[in-house]
Amino acid sequence: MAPLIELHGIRKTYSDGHEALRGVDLTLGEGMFGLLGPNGAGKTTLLSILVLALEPTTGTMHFDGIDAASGRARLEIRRQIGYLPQDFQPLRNLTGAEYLVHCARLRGIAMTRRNIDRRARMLLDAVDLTDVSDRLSGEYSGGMRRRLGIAQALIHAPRMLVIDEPTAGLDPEERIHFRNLIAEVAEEVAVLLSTHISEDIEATCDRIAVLTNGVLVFDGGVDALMSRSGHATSLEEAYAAELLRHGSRAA
Amino acid sequence: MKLLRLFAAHEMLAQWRSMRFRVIAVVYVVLVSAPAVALFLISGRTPRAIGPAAFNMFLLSEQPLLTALLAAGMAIDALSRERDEGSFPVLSVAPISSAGYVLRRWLSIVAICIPVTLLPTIISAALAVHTRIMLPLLPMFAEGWLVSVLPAVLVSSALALSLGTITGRAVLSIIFVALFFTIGLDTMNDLLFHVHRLHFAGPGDLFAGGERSIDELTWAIRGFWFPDVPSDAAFPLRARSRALVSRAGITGAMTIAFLALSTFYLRRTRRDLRPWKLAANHPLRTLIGGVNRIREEYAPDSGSGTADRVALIVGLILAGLLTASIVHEQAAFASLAAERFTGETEQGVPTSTGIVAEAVTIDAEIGIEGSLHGHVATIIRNTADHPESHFSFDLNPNVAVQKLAVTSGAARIRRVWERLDVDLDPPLAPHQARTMSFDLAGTPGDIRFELQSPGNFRSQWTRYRDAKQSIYLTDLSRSSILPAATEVRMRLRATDIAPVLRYSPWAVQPDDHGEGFLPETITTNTALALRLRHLYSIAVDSCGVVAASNEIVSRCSTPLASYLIFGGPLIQRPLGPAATLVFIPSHEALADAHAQSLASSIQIASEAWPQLSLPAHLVFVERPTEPGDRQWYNESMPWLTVEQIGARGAVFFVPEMLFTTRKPINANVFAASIIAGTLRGKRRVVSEDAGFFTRFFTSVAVGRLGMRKSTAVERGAGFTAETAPLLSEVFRPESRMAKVLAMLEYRVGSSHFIDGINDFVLRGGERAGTAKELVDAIGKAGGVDLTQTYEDYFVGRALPQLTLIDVTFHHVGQRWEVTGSVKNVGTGEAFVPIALRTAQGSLWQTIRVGDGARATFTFSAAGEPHALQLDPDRVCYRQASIGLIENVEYRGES
Ligand SMILES: Nc1ncnc2c1ncn2[C@@H]1O[C@H](COP(=O)(O)OP(=O)(O)OP(=O)(O)O)[C@@H](O)[C@H]1O
Ligand SMILES: [Mg+2]
Repeated sequence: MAPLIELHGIRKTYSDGHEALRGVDLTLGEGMFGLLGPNGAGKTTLLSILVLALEPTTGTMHFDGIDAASGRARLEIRRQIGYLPQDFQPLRNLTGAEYLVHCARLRGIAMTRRNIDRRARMLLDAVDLTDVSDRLSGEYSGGMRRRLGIAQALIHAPRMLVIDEPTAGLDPEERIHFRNLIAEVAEEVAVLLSTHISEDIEATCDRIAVLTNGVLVFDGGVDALMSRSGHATSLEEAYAAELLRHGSRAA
Repeated sequence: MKLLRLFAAHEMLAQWRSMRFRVIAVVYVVLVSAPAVALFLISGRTPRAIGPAAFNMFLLSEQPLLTALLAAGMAIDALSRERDEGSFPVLSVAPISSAGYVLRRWLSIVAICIPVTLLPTIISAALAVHTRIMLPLLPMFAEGWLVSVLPAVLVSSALALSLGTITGRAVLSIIFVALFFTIGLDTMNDLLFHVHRLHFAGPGDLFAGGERSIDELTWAIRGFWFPDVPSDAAFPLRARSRALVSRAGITGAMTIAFLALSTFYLRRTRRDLRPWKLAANHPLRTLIGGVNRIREEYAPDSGSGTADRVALIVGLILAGLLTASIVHEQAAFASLAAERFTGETEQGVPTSTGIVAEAVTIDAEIGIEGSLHGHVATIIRNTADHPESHFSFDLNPNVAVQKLAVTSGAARIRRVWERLDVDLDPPLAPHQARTMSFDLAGTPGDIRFELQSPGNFRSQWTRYRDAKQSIYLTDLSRSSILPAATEVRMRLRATDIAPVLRYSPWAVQPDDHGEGFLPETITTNTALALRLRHLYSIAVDSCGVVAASNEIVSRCSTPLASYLIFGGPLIQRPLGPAATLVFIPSHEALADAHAQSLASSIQIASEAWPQLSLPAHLVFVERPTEPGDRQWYNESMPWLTVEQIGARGAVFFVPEMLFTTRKPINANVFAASIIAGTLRGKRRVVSEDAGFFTRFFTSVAVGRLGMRKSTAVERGAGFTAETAPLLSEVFRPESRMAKVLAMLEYRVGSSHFIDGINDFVLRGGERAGTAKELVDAIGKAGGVDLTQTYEDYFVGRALPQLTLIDVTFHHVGQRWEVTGSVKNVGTGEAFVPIALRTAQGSLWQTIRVGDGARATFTFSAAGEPHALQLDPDRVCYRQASIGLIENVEYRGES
């Protein structure tokens, strides 16, 4: 069976000459995958390429064996991916429930109105928004919006969920809440989570990759990263050491 | 479809919850309905009854423009909601094609605009219905909305959405639109001009309601006369929608193209752009960096699907087709104009007067859009004593002869504009007759060419044809055809449905008279047998037939040049056994009021002129206002607005604007028309004098009914008043007519005056009479020679100005002698009465004063004179002004 996503030799040079990605090879399967990297490392760039919002300069991408370059494949791939962008905002004038139904319809889910409603309620329950489901999403707090974003990304039962910096700007309590939510989701759907905070993925990820300066410097299990730096007592330390190693090399 | 519903539902939900939208919608509805509401509030107190057309027009005056703003606002709001609020990244990953997305987005905006724009329509229609009961007129509002409001919604929202999507900025897109439709279009016109002589006019009047018309309507409602107010009979949907195609054409084409293009600018998948290689110290680094950002921003999306490309192609094809249709229209009107030019400049040979059309049988059908199919059989006889082969007919240029059959011999046809020449081989021998059978098809109507003023058609067309610069070109596709039969009314002249022999020269009107050929001046009676099927509830013809079905059948002897059929969505009501009133259904209440005075007017007319027997049946038709109708109502001469139709004096038009005055029309006004119409109907006249006869008889009738307020004296403040010949058609010198008639009545005596007219009218025989013969008959009845009078006032523009000079009073023995003279410092011959007032009564003399001449007089009186007066009763036609002496008092001998 082909892996879910296969990236090969992905490079991205923005038109101003900035090289955001310099040859990334990545294979993603089931489970939860953490993409760790400092600000400006190229995480959003990579994720945008993955959800087809950005054309790479070179490189190929296969989704479940389908080549993403063909026009027809794009519709199919879009159907399989749920995406929570870094700066997600729901439509302000819709309630949480309405927004989910709207997304469901927009994604062309073949379900009756009743079943869509039921699925929306279920997801709202899962992201703990049942109490506020009938309030306008414009009135939600940052954390609530982010959770609605997860629900929105799952509404069409995708095979993979792509989440970009989900915990940025959340208070510690919300952040823990959110991590737990994603861990639950990852039990059913493949999750690709990008972050610059190692805690976000420490407890939950089966596999992590470290991206810095547009290059993948590490790809493997949490344990492997820890052991690589030898003396690290936490993922945080191991990640910092890894960055330092490549940062000094770059410098 | 489901997705569209979703988009629309979301759009409505989102908009409905937004305070901004609610405020905008309320402001829109209030602004747009305000004129109609204001109209409603004053509707009870206006001198003119306000019909549904007025409500509709008030509504439509502002609505297109405000609607365009509303739709553009909605589109920009929808875009910014998606982009600025950051929800687009999620929407953009949805598995739908970009084209599908754009289309649904657009339609959802249209869907939300529709109910909002319908509200004012519903409000105005409700107000119109509330004013008077006329539910059948609701289609008028629906049609007005369809033709004027919906296009504004569609075009404006699409333009705003597509340009907003492409540029990503609202302000930028507005600037872009403005530039495009001004400088862009101008440049395009300049470029196209060199290649194809094409010219496209901008979208301006697509959104413009009609500022002028609301102004005029306001005046009309306040009781003033005759602005361009549409008829209450029906909404001219076909003309309006045809005009819409040419108005919206180029804008529509551009909009479609932009909309299709915008699917590539959704910014769903940002294209990979190669960086430009620049040295780090390149002097233009910052500038090039800026240019690069623009390049990035406006690079089309990559990875567009088949659907998007198909949409683009379909869009471009549609835009191309629209443009092509406009180009085609331009070419079509250009060739029509060229044909008309040829027709008007080529020297056509008319039919010689020895040829007569003995009988004409017309079997025709007027279908939707005013289309005509007809069969006409004309029996033509040669009454001259030499053979004739050339026959020239007048036929509406939009009607084609599909087939011509002649009972014997061959016929050759030549057609230029409205001239139809038929040459027979062998020629028609003296006293022989032959039947020509025509198969006709077309849409009779008048073409209004969109050419640049000033000048008559010939100079306008020459300017267009010989233009060396694009500013002299116009968008000919905006020309219009006003069919003789529209949904508002059917108005068919004989030349609209049959070829009519032309005897007068094919000469065009002089410049100050108007456009087209001079009217036919030679008329002969023809036995007409007509059968016309049509779509209207009522049709009448100038022979007096009223047919309340979809077919009018008429047999009468009439000159074809003045024959007319009129019909429309009208209803009729009998006015006793001798008359019928035909009117617009929604004017039922007004008809009640006018019916009374119409009925009594018939009585008044027959009593005022007993020698005349009125036609057996009179028909009064409320004539729906024509587009562009602009007549000026003469408050002091309201009878001028009742038109007599045809040569029989049996059918009268009461213009809608006269019919809608709330005060019932004065019975005397109708009586005057009836008398005048009957006089006209009793004697055939040459048609070049036809207009004169109508004015003359009307004026006589008005005098007969005691409505003439005027004396024979023209007022002037020191300078000579401008006058026109009474025969002239140009200035319609109604007031001069009244004054000259007052003078004539004095000269021949009232009863002789009427006798003379009766002589001319009742004993004139079959021959067509002239104005000269009429004046002679009056002179003969009164025993005076009016030859000079005719020359001076009917043909010429003479105006005497008389003054007393050298008046002396002498006591001679027991008696008094008064001498002096009258000098004519003006022009024309005058017969002026002079009165000498004395202690023992008045003495009178009438003296003749020639053009610029001086005539002396002598009175011998027994009593002491008080004063000498020139024309104290004001019965001599002349101008009185400061400086002219009309009164000399005697103050005793010095
Ligand atoms: N449109 C663009 N044009 C030019 N350079 C860009 C563009 N977008 C991003 N970059 C640059 O590419 C690099 C990678 O950006 P990216 O947003 O992928 O980083 P990131 O890892 O997501 O960072 P963060 O953690 O701050 O979100 C950055 O240096 C950024 O400045
Ligand atoms: Mg990022």
